[in-house]
Amino acid sequence: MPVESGTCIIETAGLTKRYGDICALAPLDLQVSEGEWLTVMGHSGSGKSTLLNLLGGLDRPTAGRLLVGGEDLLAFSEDHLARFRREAVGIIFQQHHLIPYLTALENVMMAQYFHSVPDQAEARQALERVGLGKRLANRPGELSGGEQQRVCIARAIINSPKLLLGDELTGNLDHKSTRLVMELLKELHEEEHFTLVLVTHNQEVAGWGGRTLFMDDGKLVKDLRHERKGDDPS
Amino acid sequence: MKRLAWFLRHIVASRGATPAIIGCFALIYIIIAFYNDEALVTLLALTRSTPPLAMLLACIPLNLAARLFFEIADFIRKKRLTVFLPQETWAAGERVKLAGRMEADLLEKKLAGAGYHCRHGEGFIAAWKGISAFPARFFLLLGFLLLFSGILLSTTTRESVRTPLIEGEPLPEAMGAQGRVEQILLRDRPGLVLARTLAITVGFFDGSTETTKEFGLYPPGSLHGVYLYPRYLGLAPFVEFTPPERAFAFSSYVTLMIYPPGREDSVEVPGSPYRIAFTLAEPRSARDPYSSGKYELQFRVVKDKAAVAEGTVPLGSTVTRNGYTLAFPNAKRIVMTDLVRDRGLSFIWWSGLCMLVAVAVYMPVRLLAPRREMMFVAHGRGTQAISWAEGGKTAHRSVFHGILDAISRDQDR
Amino acid sequence: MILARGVTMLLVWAILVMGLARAYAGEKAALTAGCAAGLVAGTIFGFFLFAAVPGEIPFFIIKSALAAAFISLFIVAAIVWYRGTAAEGDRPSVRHAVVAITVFLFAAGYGLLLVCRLPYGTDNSQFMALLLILLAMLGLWMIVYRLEPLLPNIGMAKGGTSLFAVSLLLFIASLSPRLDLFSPLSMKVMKLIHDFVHQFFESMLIPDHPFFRTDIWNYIGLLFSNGVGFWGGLAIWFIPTTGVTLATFREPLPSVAHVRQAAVRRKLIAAQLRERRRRLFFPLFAGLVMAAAAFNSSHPSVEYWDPKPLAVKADSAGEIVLPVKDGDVDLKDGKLHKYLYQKGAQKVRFFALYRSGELTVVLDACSICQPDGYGQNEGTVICYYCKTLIPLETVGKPGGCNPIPVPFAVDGSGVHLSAEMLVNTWVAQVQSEKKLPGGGK
Repeated sequence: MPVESGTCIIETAGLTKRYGDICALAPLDLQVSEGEWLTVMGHSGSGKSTLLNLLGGLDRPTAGRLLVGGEDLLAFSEDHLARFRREAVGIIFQQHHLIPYLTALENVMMAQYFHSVPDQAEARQALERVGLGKRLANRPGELSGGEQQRVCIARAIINSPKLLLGDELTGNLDHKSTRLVMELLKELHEEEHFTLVLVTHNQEVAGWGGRTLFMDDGKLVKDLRHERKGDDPS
Repeated sequence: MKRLAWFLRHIVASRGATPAIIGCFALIYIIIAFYNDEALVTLLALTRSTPPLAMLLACIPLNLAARLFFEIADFIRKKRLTVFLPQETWAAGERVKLAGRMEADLLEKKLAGAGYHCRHGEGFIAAWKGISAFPARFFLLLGFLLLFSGILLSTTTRESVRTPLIEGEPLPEAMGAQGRVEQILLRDRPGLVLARTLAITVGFFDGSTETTKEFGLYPPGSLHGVYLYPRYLGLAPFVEFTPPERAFAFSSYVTLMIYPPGREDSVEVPGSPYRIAFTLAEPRSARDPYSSGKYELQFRVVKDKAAVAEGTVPLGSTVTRNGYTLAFPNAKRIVMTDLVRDRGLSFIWWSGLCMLVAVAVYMPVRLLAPRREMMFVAHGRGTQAISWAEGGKTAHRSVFHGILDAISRDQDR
Repeated sequence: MILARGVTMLLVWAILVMGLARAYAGEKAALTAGCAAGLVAGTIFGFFLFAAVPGEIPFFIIKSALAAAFISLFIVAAIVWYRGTAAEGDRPSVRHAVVAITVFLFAAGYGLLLVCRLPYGTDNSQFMALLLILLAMLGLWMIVYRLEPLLPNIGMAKGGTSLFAVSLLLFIASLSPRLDLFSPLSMKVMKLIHDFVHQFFESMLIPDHPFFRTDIWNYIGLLFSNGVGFWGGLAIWFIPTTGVTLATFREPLPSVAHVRQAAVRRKLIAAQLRERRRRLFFPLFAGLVMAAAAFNSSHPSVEYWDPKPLAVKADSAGEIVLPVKDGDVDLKDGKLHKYLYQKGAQKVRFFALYRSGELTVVLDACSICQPDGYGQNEGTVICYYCKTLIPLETVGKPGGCNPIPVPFAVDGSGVHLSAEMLVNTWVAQVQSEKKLPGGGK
């Protein structure tokens, strides 16, 4: 089981995001504990990706309060926010966003480079951890969708983020690959103790977390705590 | 005793001593250069004649010898540490204490996975990769030791006498042997550096036996520790000179330093107002006259600072100009030679060789397989981990840190 | 001209104060006291020196002091090389005094050079210029103090302060051929290289050039080529700055092995690397200033009197006669008069000069440098090759970079010289004609 110290890593109060007249995220009050695995579900346009972008410092809220790790993201300058994204957050996208002309190893090292300094041995270890020890020198085009997603996971965790965000990370994967990726995430979550927030349509993916938020039309409609699928040995 | 050991280690074998002494000499050179144009020659002469300066110079080989000794001792100790006795720890590199004890098998597996050779004993695991650059360091230090010993010996004890060796003439006394210069032969034989060879054949009489020995250009030949250093070539033509007044006739071998062609030398005709200046004429063929033996002398007869006759006389001919007759029936070759007694020279030659070896060893080792070492020693309830590398430091450090993380994670479980 | 000098001096002052303020941040009181006292003391001493000691001696004293400062940079570089450049923690309380003394010395050096750079002429104009400059300096000082905290976070490496301040002083010196150090350094280096090669051949018993392959000898000849003094001098000129820069680069980073999270370790290493890079600023800046000084030295802004050599011929007795007065030419006008004598392919340049009440005749070359010739300016002649200034009084005396003297006689018909002696002296003594290292002499 992940360590849940009870310390809040994410705390929002009246967090709102508007694009002109459109309210992408209605005022939201949310607390997420350190080490928690949270899944956000909802239809397209329900505001779940907006929430994820706000939590990851990719976007700024229109109103409200947003504390991540006790720090108020609204008070951050652009530079400070960029540093926050580099150091405290790991993000995994559905479209991978790997650099096509770099190898898997170099893609991971690129994240190290923007964070601090590259370290090849450590990047290699990270790829070995996600089961890609033999695909280090392959470019993204030479990897399957599941493998690419695992490179993304290695890239996201290489800088030991407090908060790992996943936006439809299994959206392009088949059932088998989805299961492999989720098992990997579970293993890493238990070892690294990061807080995981996944946005998904997929009911099966939601089952791997311990808590699921349901959103609709920018509003939080349900906050459900449940058993984690991965804990079930069957 | 401890104080003596400390003194030897920290003062005599100090890393900074040699540069500091060289700095002192540089400073003296600068001061001399302020007042004197021949600063280097003056500095050398000053070092030779001033015992404190010579002693200061002697401190350099002393320091290098001490460094060599301590570095060898350190290397052996470290080698024993890696392979046999992990009782002490290294001074250089990274060192860290971990709370947990290592799982030996797991650690060895990880180290082997990173390409390290392992050796484990009671309470320790040592791992290494690559080749030590110590042999190169050894040769470098030895090279410098020999170099400065050579400079010291050469500066303080060199003796040199300049004397001509003339074909067919007895050896000069300064050579300390009885004999005769049999032949001097200059040949055009282009080598790697030199374009010619010079062979001075000397015959020695030692009581009843007669032996010959050949002295060349480089490395210079030696006799009883005295090197024969050929400086330049000359010619001893047999010259017969008769002025128009026929008051006298001069005939003798004259020693002229007129090689290469174009260089002028002159001889005063004794008991007369005449001086004859000679030049070796440029050869008509491509062959050097000294090699071919086909000499042509250009002469100018000067009487009371006024040129009274000039002309060219080939070997074996007689020429008359303005009533002055000059005959050139014969010539002997001369090599102007420095007889040098220098005990430091061989040291300097050997130092060059040592330094070449050092570079030849260092470059491939450093570039291809630098030595990287780490050691994990059980220390109470924890582990003392030490790491050190001569090259490839970043990658080595990363592996070391990764292994420390693994030990730590292993402990957490 | 004077304005340009003043502006340059003020600019250097601003940079010097800015650097010192950054180096000794938190020591403002000691810095201010040292700076003010040093500047005043240096300026007063400069005036006193020039008033009390005649001729070239004050320049010689100041140049020697600069040379000592330059040599001290080598010691600084050596210490840094062996000890590292990382700034140490809090130092004991003597720091105030050390800062004040250090800054005093730099400011005093600046003050001395300021006096040297003031225009010659009546005392009033000197004082006026000095007063104006001092006032401007005071204003600049205040501005710099305000601006300094706004500068980016640049740390001062150990040894960086000396490099920085001394390089600025050397830069000022390079603006005046009398104080310039780089040119004499180049000359000494050239002489050292020549002597060294010669000595090396002798010591190692290496045979002379007639025995060498021409191609190999040509490579050795590079050591006697035209640029060897300049490049050799340049190499020595940059040793302190390069030494400190390399020492900073090669300094091992503090261990981060105790940290158990890889990303945190990397972050620490990145911070250490950043900090180490910042420490490079002052050594690199000093290097740039030294480069500017070397450039100034090689391109002096002073124009020299350098007439086209007049071709002369020898008579049947081999004698060259130069009339003392011939039309516009007056050998006793105090200017150098150049002549060219040619025998076959051999050309000999020489000049006649009237100084200290008598005529002298010398070759237009010295025995050390390549024969680039001499020009004349303000009581000196300059060797174009090594930029050494030779006071007119010493022209005609042998040694160093002095033009090589030749024997001559003066009578009613003019100056008499032996053509053969001229050629022989040129061939035997002028650098490009010698077959160094061993032979031909």
